[in-house]
This record gives sequence, structure tokens and C-alpha cells, in this order.
Amino acid sequence: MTVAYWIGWLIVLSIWSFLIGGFDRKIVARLQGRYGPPFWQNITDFVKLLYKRGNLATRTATSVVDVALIVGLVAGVLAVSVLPFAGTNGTFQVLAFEGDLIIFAYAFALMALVYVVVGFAGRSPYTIVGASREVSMLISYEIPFILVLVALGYRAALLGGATVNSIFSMSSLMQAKSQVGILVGDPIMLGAFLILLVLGPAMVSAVPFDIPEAETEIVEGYSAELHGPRLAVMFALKHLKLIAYSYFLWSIFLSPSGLAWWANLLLSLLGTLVLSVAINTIPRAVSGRFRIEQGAKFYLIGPGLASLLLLVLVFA
Amino acid sequence: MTVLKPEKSLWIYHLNTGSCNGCDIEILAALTPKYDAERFGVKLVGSPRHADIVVATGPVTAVAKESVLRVLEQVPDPKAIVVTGVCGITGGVFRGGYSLAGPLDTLVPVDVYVLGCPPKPEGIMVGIIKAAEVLELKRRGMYTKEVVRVSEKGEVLDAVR
Ligand code: SF4
Repeated sequence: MTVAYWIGWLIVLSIWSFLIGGFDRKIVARLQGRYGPPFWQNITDFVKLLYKRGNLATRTATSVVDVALIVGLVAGVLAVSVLPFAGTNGTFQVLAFEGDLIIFAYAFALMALVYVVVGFAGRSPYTIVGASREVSMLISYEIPFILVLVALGYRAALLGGATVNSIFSMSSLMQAKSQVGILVGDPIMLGAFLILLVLGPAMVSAVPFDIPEAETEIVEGYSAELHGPRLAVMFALKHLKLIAYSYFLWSIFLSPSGLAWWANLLLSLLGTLVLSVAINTIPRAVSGRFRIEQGAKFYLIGPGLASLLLLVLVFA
Repeated sequence: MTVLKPEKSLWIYHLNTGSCNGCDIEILAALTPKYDAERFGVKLVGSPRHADIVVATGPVTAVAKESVLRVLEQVPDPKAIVVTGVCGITGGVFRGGYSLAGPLDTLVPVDVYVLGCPPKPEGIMVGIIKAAEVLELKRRGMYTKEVVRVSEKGEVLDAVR
């Protein structure tokens, strides 16, 4: 029963992630005064990519790419599965254990590393430049991300009265939520939420921080040498990352507790849409791409210092 | 499932084989918000490996020939090639020049011609839509390799077969 529910939820989420990608393109088109593609366009793109057949470049290490893509899909599914989702009585977690918050952070880093491996396995100048840019971005946004997660876990343990050895688990976050109501009501949690929101574009590699896959300079970076089903998996991974991150923000910080499961489900879908518009669409519509050193500096100075401050405040 | 047909998603790769840049400007004009090619699912991609449709301009100079053939080889199947501008079709004003190795259809099979020097963005858009029909026939295995001509204003001069 649980497994069926979980698979159904994964399917709903992945279709919804493509639809969110379509809404994103539609909204940007409308902002530019265009009609824009239909909102299911990204599903069509995905189906189209599955039909394409061709030869990979002879220098591309195909088996490495394949293994990396499978690892990426597993990491994406893992990231979604450790998050609480709408169950028959409140929220429900498929993979619940101590330290699952760390698993979530780890899955995200793993997905970025998949891009790096695919890039280096492509062995074309474009893919290698994309991969090395991804490494520099990873270093600059991963530090604030981990610091915020530490602050978040500790604060949740304080609020919910959990023991210190469970500070990195979703269950203590849920416990804190049941006490506070909506988690952003707490000032420290609000700070963590805002920092995570600013980290969003880099986590999901959206403009202005899509520096590793700048399509006008280095032709999509790490995926430049891929095509057909492999490119489709890359495309799906990107959407999976976006929905996992926005669903993380929604389910931890914003979702109200104590709703019926269908209301919770509908609200989750709506909430991820709103958050992904905030993370992905609005920055894309209003700004151009940064250079790599600007991006790295921005994340180390802005959210980096803010997350250190948050950590000091939590432990003070 | 007509809304999910693969031909509703057209990723185009713009290939300049040595043109005067007139047609390239018009291709970019076709992608601007005024003409809004994205409503047909058109997206400009930077890598030939991601492309469905190659929009080629220019008469294929001797220097460009090797690269053009390598780029076209990298495009995965099913693919369609649209040639825009008369100089890509016959050589145009460059015909008979010492530096030409083309036109393109002497090197690879071409699916759609867009006439004009340069064609209007409307013509290029119609050419891309016709290329989508060609792609659908190719996917079904019913394509007979008849070239479709589109006038510079976008009138279709031949049926897609
Ligand atoms: S067809 Fe005319 S405008 Fe187009 S590239 Fe050739 S010479 Fe230039």
C-alpha cells in the first residue's frame, strides 16, 4: 500500500515538475508580451527526446555518462522520498530515519556531482568548461546550504524539544512544526527560509546562476554532447531538482499542519508552483546571467555571511 | 495524444555555411517576441546534438564544407534540413565563385527551401512548420524525399510528400 502510494506520488510529482517548467516558459513569454508555448510543452519536449536516435561522440565516455545519469535519477528520487508528503492522516514520510535531512543535502550535492561527471565524461571543451563551472558554483553555494541546515536542525530541536542526536531529521522538524504551526513564524526559521530562497536559483541552476549551462556561451555546458534519451534524462533531472527543492521549502517551512490529505496534496502542488516561480521564473525574467566569479562571490558573501550569522544566533 | 506529438517540439540549430548574414538576421527576427516562434515549441539550441531541425544559410564555402558535413552528421535522427535564402539553394549571387563547394543540396539531402534574398521571417516560420510535417512523415516512414518550396512571404509552393 505504502509503496503504491509512494510510486503514485512520484509520478504525480514528476508530471507536475514538467508542467511547472511549462508554466515557467508561459509566464516568461507573457511578461515579454508573447503568446508563448502551451503549458505542457516540456512534456512534449521530453517525449520528443525519447524518440531521437543518433551516435554519441566517439570521445565521450558513454558508460560513465550512463552510470552518472542513473545515480542522478536515484538521488533525485531519494531527495523527494525523504520529504514528508500528504498522507491519509496529515503528513507521511516514506524514508524516515535519523539524519534524513543530511540525506537530502547529500542527494542534492550528488545531483550536482552528476552534472560534473557527465561534463568531464563528455570530453568536449564545452562540457568540460560547464563541469568546472559547476564545481566552482557547488563550492560557493554548498557551504551556506549546509550551515543553514545545521542552524535549522538545531532550532527545530530546541522548538520541538527533541534530543540533540535527532537534530538532522525531518521528524524533529515536523515536531517543531506541530508546536509552532507554520514554521516561518519563528524568526530564526524565517531567516533560514529567506537564505534558502536566495540559494534557490543556484541549487536548481536557474538564471542568473545557470552559469554552468549558459546556452549562449558554452551551449548548455555539461549536456552539450548528449542527445536522445540521455538528454531526456538530463532534462528530467533538471526538473526533478527544481521540484525537489521547491517542495522541500514548501513542506518544511510553509505548509500548514492538520489538513485533510487531499487539501494537503492540492496545497503542495500549488505551493511548489508558487515557490518555483519565485526561485526560477522571476529571476529568469528580470535578470541576465552572472559571470562565474560574480556568482561565486555573491553566494560566499551574501548567503555565506548570513548563514554564519544565523548559526551564531541559533547557538547564542 | 496529438498534443504530445514529437513534432510539437522543434529545437532548431542555426547553421551558417558562409552566408552574407542577411538571412541570419531574419532567422533571429523570426525568434523575437514579435513573431514568437516559441508558441510552436520552437527553441534555438546551441549544440547540433540537441537539434531536430537545422536551419542553414549560405552557399557552403570550400572552407566551411568539412565543418558543415561534420555538424550535420552530429544531428540525431529524425532530422530535417531547411535551407533559407537563394544563395543556399542555387548559390545565388555567389554562384560560380571560386570559393564555393555547395550549394548544400549537392552535399546532403535537403527537405525545405525558403526562397528569397533574404526571406521574410514569416517565410522562415512557414519553412520550419513544413519541416515539422516532414519530420512527422519521416517518423512514420512515409517520406518520399520531395523538396518543399516556401516563398519568401510564406506561401507554400509544394505539398509535403
Ligand atoms: S540569400 Fe541573400 S541575404 Fe541570404 S545569405 Fe544569401 S546573399 Fe545573404
